[in-house]
Amino acid sequence: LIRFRDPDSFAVIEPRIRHVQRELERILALVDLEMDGRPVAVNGFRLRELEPWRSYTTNTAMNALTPISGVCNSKCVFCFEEGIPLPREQSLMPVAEARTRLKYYSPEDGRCLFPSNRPHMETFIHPQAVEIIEMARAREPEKLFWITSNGSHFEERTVARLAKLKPIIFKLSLNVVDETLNRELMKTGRRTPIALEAPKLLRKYEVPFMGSIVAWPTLPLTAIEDTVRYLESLEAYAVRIRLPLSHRWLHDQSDADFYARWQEVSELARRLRPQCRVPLFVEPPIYWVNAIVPEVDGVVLHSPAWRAGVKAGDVIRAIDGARVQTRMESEGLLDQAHIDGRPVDLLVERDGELHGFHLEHLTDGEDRYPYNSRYFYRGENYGIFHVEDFRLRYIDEMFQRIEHYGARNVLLFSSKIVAPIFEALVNGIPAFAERLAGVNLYIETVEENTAGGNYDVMDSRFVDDYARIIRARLDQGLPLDLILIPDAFGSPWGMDMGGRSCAEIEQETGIPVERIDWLLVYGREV
Amino acid sequence: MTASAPTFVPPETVAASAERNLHPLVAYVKQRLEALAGLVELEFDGLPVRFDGFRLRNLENWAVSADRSLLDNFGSLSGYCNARCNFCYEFGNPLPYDLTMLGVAEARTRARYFDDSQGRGLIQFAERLDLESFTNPKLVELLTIFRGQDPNHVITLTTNGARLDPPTLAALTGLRPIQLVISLNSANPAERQAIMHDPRAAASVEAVRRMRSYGIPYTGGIVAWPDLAEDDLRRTIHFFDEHGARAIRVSLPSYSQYFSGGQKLFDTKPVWDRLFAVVEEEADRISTPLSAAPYLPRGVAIIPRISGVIPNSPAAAAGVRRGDIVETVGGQPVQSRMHAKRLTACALLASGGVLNLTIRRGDSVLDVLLDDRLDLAADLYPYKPAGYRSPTGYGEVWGSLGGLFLNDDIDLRDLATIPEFARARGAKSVVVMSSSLLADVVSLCFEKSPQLVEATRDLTVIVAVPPHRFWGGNISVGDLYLCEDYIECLRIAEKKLGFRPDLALIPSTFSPNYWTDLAGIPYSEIEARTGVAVDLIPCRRINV
Repeated sequence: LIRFRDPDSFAVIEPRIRHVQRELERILALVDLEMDGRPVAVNGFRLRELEPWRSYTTNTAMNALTPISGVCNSKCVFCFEEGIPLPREQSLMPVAEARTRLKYYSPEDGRCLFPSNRPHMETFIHPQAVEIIEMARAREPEKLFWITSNGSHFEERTVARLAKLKPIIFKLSLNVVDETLNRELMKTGRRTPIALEAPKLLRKYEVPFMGSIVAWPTLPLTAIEDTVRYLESLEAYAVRIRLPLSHRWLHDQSDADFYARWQEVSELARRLRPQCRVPLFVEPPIYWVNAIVPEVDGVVLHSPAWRAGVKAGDVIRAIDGARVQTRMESEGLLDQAHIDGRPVDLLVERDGELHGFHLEHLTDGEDRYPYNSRYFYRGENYGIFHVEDFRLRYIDEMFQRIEHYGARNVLLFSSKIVAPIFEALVNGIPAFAERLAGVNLYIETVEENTAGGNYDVMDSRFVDDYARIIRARLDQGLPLDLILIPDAFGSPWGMDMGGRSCAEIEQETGIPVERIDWLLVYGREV
Repeated sequence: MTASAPTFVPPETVAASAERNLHPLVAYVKQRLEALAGLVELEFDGLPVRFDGFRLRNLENWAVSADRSLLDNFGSLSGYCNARCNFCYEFGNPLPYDLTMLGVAEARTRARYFDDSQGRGLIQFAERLDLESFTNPKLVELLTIFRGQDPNHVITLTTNGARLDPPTLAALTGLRPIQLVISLNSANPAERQAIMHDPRAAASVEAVRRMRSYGIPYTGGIVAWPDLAEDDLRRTIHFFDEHGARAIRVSLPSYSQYFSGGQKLFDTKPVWDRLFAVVEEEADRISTPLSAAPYLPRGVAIIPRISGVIPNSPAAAAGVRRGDIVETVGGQPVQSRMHAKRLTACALLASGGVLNLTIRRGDSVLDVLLDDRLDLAADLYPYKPAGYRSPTGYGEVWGSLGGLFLNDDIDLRDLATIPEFARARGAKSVVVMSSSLLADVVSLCFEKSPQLVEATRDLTVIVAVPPHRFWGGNISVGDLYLCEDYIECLRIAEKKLGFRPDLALIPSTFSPNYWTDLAGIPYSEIEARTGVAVDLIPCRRINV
């Protein structure tokens, strides 16, 4: 039931589809197919047995659906998808495909079919979107679904219907509450008012939502502040301000200074956060917070942490008496306690003083919107927000690779935001410093990202960007016996967005190339 | 791309069709399509599309087979036989063959894509055995297509004669020039029926009697299976001699292990020796050229000895006799039998049909003038029937040679390429693959031919005879070797020599397509499995 008309759009997620396509094309250039002696025409194919194609894992039935819409009714000036010269399947997922995907998803182990080749666009532009989400809910009655939308299709009857599918949290791409600015920024057209009213309806039906704001340079800071306040007033679950990214294919090339913009928006967020009754954070989070330090990055309204008086900026020193040293350690302990369904004793440092807090484990009926005690979402339990941070295991695993190869001269790529964090950790933690002895570790940052704009803040998703640098270093006579690249490609096959393989570098240079788990500045969504 | 293009095998019948011997490229396409069809279902505009076969597009890209004539390019006209000979060597043949006949549509397509000037045509898409052409009900139509394209080339058909009824023979006269090889086996209808299970044995014998009246020359064929009584063999030879055969061939009995069920059926050497003696004795008594096949193991190689003279030919008119040895052709001294054949053919062509020979008969040397200038009306049956522009010449690359019958032989020119191959590969030791029929002659050439000795001075040449592991029985022909036989041979050779030879050279004629063996295994497999570099040496097939 999965059909293929443009297999090139599978280059990243399932290159075997493209391989099948290319071989079929080669063969069909040589022969015409026949049935009963008459030629038959062919212009697509579908997989027969789907079981062997369950090559991905995910966490919910909603995510197992993968993008159901490759089109959007907004035309955001900052849209990542805009103008990119890569094959894209701009279509809606047929209900039959959705049904098939749900059928081949196992809630037990998370195995699912490889994703749709559609880019993640506006879900609710799909006329059967709610029906499909209902199907996902039926497949998995309990789990929390996160769904992203611009809200422009959230008429009351739709929200009422979605409210029956709880637990759901929406990521609502509101961006700016001022209608004129919103129309300019998102070009949603006549549905703009519906999108602006969506938070009210979600509040009314007690469907929690996280408001998202892309702080595009044309937005005045006051408009951003107004939008945060608007979302706060409607008891948003959280507010996310995204620092803007620009790439070379955008239709409107902004001549703003994006680095200055990042700084001023971060300062605004820092100023607003203590005043707001909503967890407010900036993306990329690692740019904004103190890395590693187990800070509370936000507190959900009406959550156990909120009720106990925990505040954003508090540094967690102990959980249930156990000493806590890193953000990810804190996250893990809180997640586990939530799964166990027990209260937690917290020791935090605030302004140089230690404070103890008792966090209740609320049960049904004791909790209050937007907090729901039955929700589980990693890094947000008890209402304490922890953003994604560098994990010490990345370094451990990196050393394992180096030791596996017995490599002496290693080239490690890292984004310019993560590189200093890594350096501080690898030199600062004695166990790591010891393992580094005898290894020449060269750290490289991709300064010229194929996507252009300010994409140089993150790890490149283009093989060529790495190949270029490696060639230059080899030409300079740098002896290398291992190359480590953060696995930012979004492909289990190491295929980049242009359909090229990471393995090409290894083939060209003869030096092993390994993809490593690393902190991705923007996550995979961008 | 056209409706008349050849079509192939349906995936639904893969189990049956997978066994068929397709051209390696076509087999590859089929294999890949089947693999893909197991993985994906094809669609057109979103609806599933079923398919059960394929046809090649852009056929001009597939016209890469080198064939002397369109008729050769047709390939086997029928993969069927209507006789059931007791000795049929196809019995138990485990190799996959396509059990089909050539269709008119394919023949037309082949005609369209055949380039006469280049001798290039469409590849054989599927190999079928070359069995009884006359079982193809479209035979006359097929030959008419060929004749329409090529008015002069002699059509040669091998047949068991069971379908040579008067209407068929009449139709064949319309397709002249044509010649037949008729496997009569016995001129005694009862015997023929017993051997071949031909219910119309009497009519078949009668047809041979009438060949002269239709003006169609023929070569008589006898498989001298040990069942065949010696006097019957002698009588059949005389029957052919009396009824105008152009030549007579007595096949020495061969069988594969698949035919015999792994049993040894008889002692080959005494059986072959006796038959060879009978043939030599009868050849001296009759006027028709008579030879045993294979000829070489008992006959004399290299020496340009004339083994017969075709009746009514210029050579017969000039008094040339069996046993004469050619000394010069057109004044040029002759170095070998194949040299004599080449010189004679070229000189006849260059002179427009007149040629001086000197021949040695016993102690005397004779001058002979061959006059091969024949007009259309001249009736010199069987050498050149009336209405034939030129003489026929069964299986003879070099034509009829004015009626001189010189047994086919190894060509020293083919051996001469061996040092070049060794040089190109930088090889110091070379294994030259031969057959038991030719090995002695080949070895002798490397010892005695001054040119070869000189050219291989720095080279270790090992002439090797692979075991016929695949076919077994008493099969001795080199062109029936499979890759596995060569692999086995190289392993034995390495063990015996104590070192691994640098290069193995294999006569190209073992491969039906210059690529794979009869079972479809590419010859690169030999190199892959033994580590010995392998080249095919381009050879002319020898009618042993």
